[in-house]
Amino acid sequence: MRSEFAYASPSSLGEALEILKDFGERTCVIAGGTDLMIAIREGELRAELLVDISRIPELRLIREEGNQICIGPLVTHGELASSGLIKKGASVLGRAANSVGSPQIRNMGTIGGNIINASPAADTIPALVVLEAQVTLKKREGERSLPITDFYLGPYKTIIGAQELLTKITFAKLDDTWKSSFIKLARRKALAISRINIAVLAKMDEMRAKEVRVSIGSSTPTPCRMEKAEAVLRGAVPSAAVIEEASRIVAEEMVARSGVRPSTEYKRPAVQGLVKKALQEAFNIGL
Amino acid sequence: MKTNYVGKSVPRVDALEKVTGQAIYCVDVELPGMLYGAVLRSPLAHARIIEIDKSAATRVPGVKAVVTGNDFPYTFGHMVKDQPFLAMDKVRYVNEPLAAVAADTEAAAQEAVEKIQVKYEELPAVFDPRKAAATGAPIIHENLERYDHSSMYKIVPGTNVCTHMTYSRGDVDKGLSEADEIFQNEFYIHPVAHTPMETHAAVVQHDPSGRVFTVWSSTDAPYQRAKDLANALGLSFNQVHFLSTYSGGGFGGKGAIVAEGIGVALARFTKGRPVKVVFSRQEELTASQVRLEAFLKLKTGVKKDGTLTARVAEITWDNGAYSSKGPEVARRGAMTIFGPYRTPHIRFVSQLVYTNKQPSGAYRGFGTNQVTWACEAQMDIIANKLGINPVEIRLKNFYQDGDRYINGQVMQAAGLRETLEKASQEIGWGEQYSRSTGALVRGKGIATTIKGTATPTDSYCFIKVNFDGSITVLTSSVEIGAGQKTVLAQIAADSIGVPLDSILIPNPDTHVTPFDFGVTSSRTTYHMGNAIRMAGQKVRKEILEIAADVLGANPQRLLLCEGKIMDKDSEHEVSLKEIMTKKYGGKGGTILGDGHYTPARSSIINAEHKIQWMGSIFWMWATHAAEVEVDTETGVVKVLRIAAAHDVGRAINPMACEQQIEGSVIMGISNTLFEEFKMDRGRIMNDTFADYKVASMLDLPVIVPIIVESHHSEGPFGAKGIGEPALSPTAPAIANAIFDALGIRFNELPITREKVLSALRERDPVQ
Amino acid sequence: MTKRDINICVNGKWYELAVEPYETLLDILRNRLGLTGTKSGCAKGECGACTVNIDGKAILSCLTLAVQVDGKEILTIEGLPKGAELHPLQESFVKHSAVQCGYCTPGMIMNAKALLNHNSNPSEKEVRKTLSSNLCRCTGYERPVKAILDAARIMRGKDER
Repeated sequence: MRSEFAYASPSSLGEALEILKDFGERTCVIAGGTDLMIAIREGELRAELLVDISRIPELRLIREEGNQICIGPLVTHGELASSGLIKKGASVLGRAANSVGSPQIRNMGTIGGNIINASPAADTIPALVVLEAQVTLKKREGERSLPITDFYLGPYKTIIGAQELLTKITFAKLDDTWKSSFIKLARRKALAISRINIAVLAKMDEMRAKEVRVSIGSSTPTPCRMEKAEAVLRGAVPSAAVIEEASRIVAEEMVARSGVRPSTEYKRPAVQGLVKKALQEAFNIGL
Repeated sequence: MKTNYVGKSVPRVDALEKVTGQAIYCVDVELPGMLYGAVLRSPLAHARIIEIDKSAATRVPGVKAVVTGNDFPYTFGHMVKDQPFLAMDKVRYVNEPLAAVAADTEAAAQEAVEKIQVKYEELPAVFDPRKAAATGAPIIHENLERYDHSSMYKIVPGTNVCTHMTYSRGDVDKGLSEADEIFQNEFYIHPVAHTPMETHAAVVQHDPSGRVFTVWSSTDAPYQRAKDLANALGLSFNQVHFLSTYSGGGFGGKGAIVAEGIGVALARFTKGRPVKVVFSRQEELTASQVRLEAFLKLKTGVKKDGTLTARVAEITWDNGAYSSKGPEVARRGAMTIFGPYRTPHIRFVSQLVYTNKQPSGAYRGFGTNQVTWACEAQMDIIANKLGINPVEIRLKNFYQDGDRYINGQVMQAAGLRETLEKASQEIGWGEQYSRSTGALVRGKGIATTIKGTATPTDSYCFIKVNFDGSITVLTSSVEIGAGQKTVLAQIAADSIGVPLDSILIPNPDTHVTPFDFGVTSSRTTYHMGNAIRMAGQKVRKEILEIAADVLGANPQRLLLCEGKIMDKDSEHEVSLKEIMTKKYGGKGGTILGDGHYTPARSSIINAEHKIQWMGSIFWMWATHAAEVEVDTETGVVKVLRIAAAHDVGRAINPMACEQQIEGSVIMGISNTLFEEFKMDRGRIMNDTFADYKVASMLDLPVIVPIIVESHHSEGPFGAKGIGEPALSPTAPAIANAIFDALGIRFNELPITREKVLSALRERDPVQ
Repeated sequence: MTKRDINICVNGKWYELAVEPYETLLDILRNRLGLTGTKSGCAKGECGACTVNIDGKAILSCLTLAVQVDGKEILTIEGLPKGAELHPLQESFVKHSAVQCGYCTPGMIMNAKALLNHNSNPSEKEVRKTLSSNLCRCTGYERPVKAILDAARIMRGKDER
């Protein structure tokens, strides 16, 4: 147990931002702790001051703001999975949250932590990508909002500044013309960190797919959309052939973005197979 | 004989302590003045230690001892004395311990460990046992031939070969020439971790007079560990005192000196203060021991009708850096390569080779997993090529009562056929069913196994009937989790004639409980069960004599049942407690009975001169039948159903037998489909549960345990064993089912989704 | 290093403790309060052995800092029986012999307890999914599933009365 640090637990956002302003680089923010605790236990925590934001009530809300859903960073995966608002207006996120780790981790781990930790295997990120979520970062002097896809620099790297705190995640509520699916392929069924996960959203206009959004996790250097495949699906009547073609393109796009690696031999066909299942589920065909 | 407990699924006697969190495991032991240990481990796979500077470590506040191999220059080894407590001249695998610290707190111990400076000279390392056996390979133990070792294991001086062994019977050239077809196949089985949920741990105290080391441990064989430590340190047996705690799982992994050795080295220098050493999960996965990796070549002659005529087997086993029980695993494993089949002409060559990897050792099955994998996969290859039903080809070649085993022992094979028939029936073998739905394809497979027990080995016990009629059974059989206490209590209750709840079996204590070979080799129910049965009968006889004396009755006319003594003539009934009170009054007293079981003089194990050791006092038979579903788009193999039929002789506790079967099947699925070490220059890269995957509740198929009872003539109430053979048929049954589904044969374990998908693409490039 | 004072309620009893910021709830339970029924299996949140309940929810005590649970109510395996009477889950684990070595058992029972807190009638699938985060190498999982379903049934019966 070599990590040595002081501990602060601000009870308001203002207080937290003050602390971050004063101590900046020397701090580390903790919420649920599920990712950070391992670093602390292994003596890898570099910070001098651990800022525990878990006692700031305003960061713990899920609410509707007009056409938008707004989620505080302290909302746990369990709370997301069981929220009626999420089920109705963003079910893909609910399902992604429900596939996180284990019930214990879902009770402890927060969406904010999942976003900030920037693990390529994070389950909620592909869902947030297809929801076109915006993240809001705040520091004492002001705040900025940006699309989640602009937030990442690489695996475990984001653009957040040392004095900034993630304060909310927002996205447009979906109506029931939107279909969705979330599929995860882990090495073992439970407890697993995602090896491949896929989020799909499709806006249907009668038989035709008016708009389709696809994102795959753990497979690209930074979270992104599979635009070429989306273009193939846009305006199409989903059929086995179209799905097959789109799945093939997703696998190609994945390889183009991540480069050929030892895991590619497996991932390419597995992604293809999995995207096929995800699209079939979203379009409710072939099942 | 009518029994009140034997044959019944009574609830486990240890369950109450375990569901309330009261059961004390080794990691829970707390003693006054206890210090905490931490270990410095090698970052290199093979290197000379030039210098260790521990000065900064000794200055860390709270540190009480910093110990290196030079401070405690002893070696140990159960079969070959090749392992230092802490590395001395060289390190031989990544994460080998080379220094240890005892301190007031874990944090201080850890901090001190990080301050120890070591200079190494890196040496070439070798990780593949086939390469390590070749000329010119880096030598891992330069003084191999000078190590103390049993003459049973033939060392090859100047090489990395720790044990070389050949055996033949009949004339294999003749046998092969009689065959219509000769099958030559190569198989590979990977190392896997035991992953007990309680990692290796020990608490050790060296008494201030320096005479006795007291060791709290969850090892599976306290006598063997105490003996090994006494041998290593030049002490007498009674100077190494083992106290067993409850064990948080073993599976063979706790069958070696692991954390105990580090504890002993530290305790020697802490002036009487006890030291606790608990392995982290990372240490457990990288520096305890693993199942022996093996490369197997089989050449088998078969007639057109499926009759086996000859088999030649070559096996190369990976010993890792130190031998633990490797030599005996390699020996007993090799002789089992012929499976449960009559094969007139046989030969095997088996070599166990050192590599720069974590030591290998006993793993549930003791070599049987490795050889069953090859033997049963090849049986399917043969059946498929010859167009014979895999069930039929096995039935045709199975041992039958009276057949001779490879050492000439006459087989008791009742139960073998029944396991195959029942398991295959349960899975609907031969029935029509829907084989594919979209990308999902189904298949079925079977595999049978034979497993003997280490023979001859001995078990002793004492039964104490206390002055109030309560019973204490003193045994060194550890409750490793498999239900030993429950089954032994059932045998004791019925042998004496007392209620189950009047019996208490404390945890072993080598200063008190008598010798037992250990909870290994599926031997406890049979061996300790027999010892307890003997002791039980003795105390029962004495109780009845005392009762006759007290009651003025004829002892021949008295019965003892459920703690009540009944006079057959008068039907007068008195409780055991009353008899004891009348006999011993207020002063107290004990009835003591001893039991010693050894199969050494049993005619069952008669064999050819000098190779009696290959035999077994009982043979365990098992067949697993699996149904799998393969997703041809992702390569994911899902086991849908496994029927597992086991000949246990007699189920003392059917529920406990089923527990063993269920637990083994899921372990087998996990070993076969999920578990795999990823290594980089000898370093295990996946050293956490997140990366080293073991099966979870969601991976569980429908398991149908089937108990076959063939009643062993010398077993306690007819019982044999169950713990080990329940694992070995699972892997080949799954592989055979995958072949049935896809027509693709996997000869190398594990069968990962990557391998399945890549094989499918090779077969159907357009897919 | 500065220790911090926390107040926690464990199994119905309040404790005031001075803890280091790096100490986990698991450390506190086992080493300070002597409640060794809660086990450590990996110290990384990957095996479920250290599961306890906080405010009725299952959490991993190895991934929880003691300072973060200030003011909270914690339930461990030792607090489950009511006096001498076992909790129905404990009864059921004994009855179904859902225990072998028993090391993972307290964590399993505490995760099941939290499940039944908010779902008195879980399906077998829900039990499997929830308990899939509790690794066990002995039992093969079958009996724990049965034991939990049976305990849920018995608890529902009691509630109705």
